[in-house]
Amino acid sequence: MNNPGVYDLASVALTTALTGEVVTDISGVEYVGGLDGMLAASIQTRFAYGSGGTTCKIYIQTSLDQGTTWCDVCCVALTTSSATKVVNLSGLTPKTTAATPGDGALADDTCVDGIFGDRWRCKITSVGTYAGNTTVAVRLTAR
Amino acid sequence: MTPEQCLASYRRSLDRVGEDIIIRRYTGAGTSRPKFDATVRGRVIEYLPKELVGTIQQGDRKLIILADDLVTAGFSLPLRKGDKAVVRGKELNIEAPDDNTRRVQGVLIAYELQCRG
Repeated sequence: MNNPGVYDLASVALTTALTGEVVTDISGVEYVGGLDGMLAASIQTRFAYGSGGTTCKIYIQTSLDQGTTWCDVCCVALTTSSATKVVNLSGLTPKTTAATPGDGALADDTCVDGIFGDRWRCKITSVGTYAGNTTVAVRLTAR
Repeated sequence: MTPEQCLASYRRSLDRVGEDIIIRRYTGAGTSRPKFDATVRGRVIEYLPKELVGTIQQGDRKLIILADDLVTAGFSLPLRKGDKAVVRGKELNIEAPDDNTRRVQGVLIAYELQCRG
């Protein structure tokens, strides 16, 4: 691929409840682009829990149509303890059964492997009010 | 100079004259609260006497650290007042993180941190 490297999909301090909030922000652009040709994506989610809150779901999404339709490829579920979770997805995984793109609908701690668009983003849905410097950091290592 | 070229230049420079610095963020409350550390390459500079104005006090230090190192380390950006920087074992308080000065074409290359402690 042309642009391998580590990308910041999310760096956010959690406070009030979020409902399907896109948290990727690359100088005002709500996705990481230029990832066409990517063959593998390792995604690390680091949740630093402070206090409060109930649940937090992090959806990693990609788009195959320039951002018109976003498709969940990974959902990481978190609660009230610090956690680091990693997944690795491959762009070469055949997907021979048609899947319907879901937006913020993937089951907890599951992935849809093999769907790789040229842009990726992160969406968060949280319940309850987190406090105490609770932060989420999501990094995409593209290669 | 493109942001990529500028970052490469900063990295070369900090590799030559900089040192490893730990950026630390605490979560929760209490003395045994958890923390997350990220080791970055940076440089520590004293303020000049003429720069001691406003909230900058004698003894404060200016740290220049690569933003890219924080991204790679999985640190949740942006840096905030109250985060810590550990320089040669001493924990300093970050009083004012500046993420504007060292941008190139809008891309953050390095943070300038006003630290105290």
